[in-house]
Amino acid sequence: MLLPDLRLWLRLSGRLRIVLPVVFCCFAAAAPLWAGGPRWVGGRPYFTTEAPVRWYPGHPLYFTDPGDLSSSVNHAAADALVAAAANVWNVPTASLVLSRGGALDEHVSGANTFLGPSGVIFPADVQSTNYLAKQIAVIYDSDGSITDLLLGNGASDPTSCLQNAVTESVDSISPSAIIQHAILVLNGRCTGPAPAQQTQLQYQLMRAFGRIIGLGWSQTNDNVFTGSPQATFNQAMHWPVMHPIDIICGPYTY
Amino acid sequence: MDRILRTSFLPRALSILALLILALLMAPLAHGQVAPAESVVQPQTVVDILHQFSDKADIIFAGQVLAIRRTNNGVVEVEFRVDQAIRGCTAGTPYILREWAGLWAGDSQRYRVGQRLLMLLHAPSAAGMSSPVGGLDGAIPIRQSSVALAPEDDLATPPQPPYVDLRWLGARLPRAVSYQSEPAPGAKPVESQPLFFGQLAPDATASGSIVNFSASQPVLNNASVSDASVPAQQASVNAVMDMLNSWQSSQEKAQHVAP
Repeated sequence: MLLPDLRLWLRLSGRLRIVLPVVFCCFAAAAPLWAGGPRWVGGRPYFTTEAPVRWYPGHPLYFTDPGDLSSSVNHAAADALVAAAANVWNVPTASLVLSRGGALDEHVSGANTFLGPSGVIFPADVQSTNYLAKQIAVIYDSDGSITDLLLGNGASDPTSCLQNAVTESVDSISPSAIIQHAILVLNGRCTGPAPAQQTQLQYQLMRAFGRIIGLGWSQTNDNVFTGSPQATFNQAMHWPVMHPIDIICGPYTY
Repeated sequence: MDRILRTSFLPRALSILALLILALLMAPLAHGQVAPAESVVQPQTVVDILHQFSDKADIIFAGQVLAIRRTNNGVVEVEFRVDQAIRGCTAGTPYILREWAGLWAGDSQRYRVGQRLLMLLHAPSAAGMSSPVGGLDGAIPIRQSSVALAPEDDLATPPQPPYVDLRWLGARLPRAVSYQSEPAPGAKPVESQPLFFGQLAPDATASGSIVNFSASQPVLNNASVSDASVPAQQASVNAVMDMLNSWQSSQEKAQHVAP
């Protein structure tokens, strides 16, 4: 992974660092996170409370696909990538803790996922009805078949990774404004021999984790993007992870 | 590296050194890319992005949302009236987009009844589900000009034509970045707006396109200071549809010529 190298670069002398943050701010895992408010707030008639929608208890477990993510990213490497993306949200100021609970029962693919009469049928332990045992299912879509199934033919194409590298869905929220279950689909076709591809996927997964834990978009320091008023260095260094505009601070490799 | 870094406040030598470091740092990223990534051309204008989206889309049309139906089989149906069809559908015949209900989690409203959109869609999967190319960026809003008529304008004043709002596509463009020094409280910025790429300049003609965007109707021509950051990334519906049609024709000709 590039992260240790990047941290080293970030220790460069002060004046030089001024020209680098645009390239590096995407690797902000070592920096404080800047996210928005709640993604949803409960309200009648569906919800019985008007509180922000959140996870309960504060320790949802994620379970990873037992297969490889791709020929370039084996299962262990994929698990490490997921852990790095999830750990970003484990901060001392929040009670929520994201941690790995284990593996899914089987590799999820187009062979065992299809559209049934009542919706998309995933393997049993991936389904939202299994939320008491497995709250977050992380699917390694090694051949892109799940992404294509859900989003349409060609959606998993590597040229669409900016949008379709990670597909997230919170598919069960109780009337008491509690998130019960979510699915993350990692498009294996967005990985490859270049480490940058995995770094980019990790960045997108970090944002997707933010979404499924119930965070809304943040427009803090929006002027870094709009230029009005002209941003300061400090503002650029505090570009929110959860800004709705996905800026990796350098051109994506795809 | 086509990104421009403005380092006017740094000594020139230091700027050059920084750029060299950046080039060295980015080199291995480029070197190790797989074939599909190597073939990706970084877009320079909104037109480039629209062209990329057009190439990826199997269904393209401009229309209006007539109805949204949540079914019991995990699919949300969005029915469109197709006003202008480019690919994969027929004008005048309703088109029903079937999206995975997981995209509508938390009762999110991806579309609204009555909304006018330029849709660039993936072909439906074997399960019949589809979605816009590039996420919701492929569902491009068509808006009516909000330029208010002056009180002295009479009813004979022709209404402003609708335009395609391309700002979300513009958000995908690489752009220049400039910083000001940390200001003292109340100090004014040291520099005016940074350069934005992808603006539809009056005479901008994209590579490969035959439509001159001077046909576009600027709408934010009287933008306030707070709006100054919003580039004029919009064009008339007809200009965009003509361009999409021309790309479609070129694609058909290329397929016809290809053995």
